[in-house]
Amino acid sequence: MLSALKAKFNLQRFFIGEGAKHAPYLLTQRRVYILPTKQGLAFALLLFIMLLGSINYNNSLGYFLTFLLASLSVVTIFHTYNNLLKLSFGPAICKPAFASEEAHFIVQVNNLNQQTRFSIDAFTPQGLLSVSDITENSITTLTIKHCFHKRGLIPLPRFTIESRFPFGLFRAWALVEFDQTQLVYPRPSSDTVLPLKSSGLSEGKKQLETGSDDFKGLRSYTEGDPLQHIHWKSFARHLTLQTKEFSSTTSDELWLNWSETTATGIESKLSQLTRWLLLADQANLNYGLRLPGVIIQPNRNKHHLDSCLKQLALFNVNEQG
Amino acid sequence: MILLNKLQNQNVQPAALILLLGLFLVLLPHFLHLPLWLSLVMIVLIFWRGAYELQLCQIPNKTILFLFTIMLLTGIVFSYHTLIGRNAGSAMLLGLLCLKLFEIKSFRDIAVIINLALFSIVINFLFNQSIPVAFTMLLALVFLFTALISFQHDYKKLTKINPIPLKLVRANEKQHFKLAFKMLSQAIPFAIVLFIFFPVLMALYGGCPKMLFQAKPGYLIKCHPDVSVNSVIIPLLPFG
Repeated sequence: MLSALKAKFNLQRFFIGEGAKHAPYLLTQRRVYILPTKQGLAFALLLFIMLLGSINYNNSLGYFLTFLLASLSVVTIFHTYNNLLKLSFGPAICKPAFASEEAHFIVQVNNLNQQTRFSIDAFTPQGLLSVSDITENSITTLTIKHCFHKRGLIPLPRFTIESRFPFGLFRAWALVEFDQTQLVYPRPSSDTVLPLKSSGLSEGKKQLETGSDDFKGLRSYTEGDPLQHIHWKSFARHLTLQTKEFSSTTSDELWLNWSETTATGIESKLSQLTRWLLLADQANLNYGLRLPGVIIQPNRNKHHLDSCLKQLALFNVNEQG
Repeated sequence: MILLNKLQNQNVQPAALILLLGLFLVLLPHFLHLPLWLSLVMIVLIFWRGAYELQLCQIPNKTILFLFTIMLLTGIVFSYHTLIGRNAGSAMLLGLLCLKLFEIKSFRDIAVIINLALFSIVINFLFNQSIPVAFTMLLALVFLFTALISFQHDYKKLTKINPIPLKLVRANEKQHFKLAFKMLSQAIPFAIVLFIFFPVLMALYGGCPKMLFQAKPGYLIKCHPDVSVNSVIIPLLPFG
């Protein structure tokens, strides 16, 4: 009971929000804060000077204008506050991102009211801003930009929803944080060449491998096969998906080895491997990955790339803390 | 006809024209007491900015603007033989406000112009408190706040931060005008209450300033010399 009360009146809520919450997050009255902006304070000073002037000259219309503007700024408080109230934020959709690159995560926004919300800013503590209007009674998405610095499974950052509409005299804001995590791949290094020489190419052994040069035959479709390799004609006949297989003599298995990295330090080794994976994927090679304790058999598709990158992202994560 | 075509141009910001209209309405009663040359200069400056907004001409650069400022101040000194005081001061403020129109770089500048325009309305009332002026000023208020809302809505555009508008509903100026009107009408009742009760407060505190200071013990002796000094008040004296 007492601890619940303490949590309610904890001043920290004002600065860091309520901590990670499960989506959806509804902006109730306790979750939206409002304070005057610099412009609002300047306006207050202006009103004070106007009041002094009116008192000095005993000017009734001057009085009335001052009071009109004063009550207008009170009315503004409600309008600004209302601009954020009752907005509901759904779970975030996070696609894996690379560290040190600008990433986006998409948050669903549910506007429950018959009122358009104007000029809603959303930003993370890094201050990368995105701004949008939200139409009445609609479900839209906000794209929030953020730059992750560390690899691994990183908790989604807290982001601020802010509005100064209509006059900019007051700033209403809410802090939103989800209990979700984002998979962050290591930052790709600046290497440009693959370790082709030492790649474990079995020399002289010219066995036919699946490549992309000559048509070899058909096999049943497995998830992740490139779309252009699907044999649509057979799909039309048999109602099952089949993939065209191509043979190539030039391409062979490429093993990307932890031990072959030239960089020093775990993080830079991982960076190098990340770049190699991306290069190998671009060159459409048949590549596998060998890390201490992890071996991924050679393959080539988007799925394979993702799982390899995931291994790199989560490599030794627990030891790092 | 050309103007109408220009207005439909995407690059033209109607909010800027609304701001100029509001400012013109604010300045209108001032023309009655300002020297003729200054009134003409201000009208020219406002129309110049308006023409720039319609992409009909260029605005002066910083050097020329500086020269204009010097000339304006010199002119005011010639007309009033001073730069301070109610008349010369307001003339200077209004002239500089019109020159400020050529120095809009961010939302802050817009806010400054609108705040100064509001201040000029009060100055207006010092010279003229007639009913037509009051209603003109009320209309000017609606225009000024419409402009403020529009610029606030689009201020990211002004400050050159690149937004990602996912579903940008660009509410048009008509909607902003309605909102400004609505907010002003919501403000009026409370303003009337303040207007009625503020003189009461003034009468209580402003009308009889001595009452405020009577609580001090030291004064009590002076106010009531007949009260026995021995009995109650002596212990309070050191604090008086």
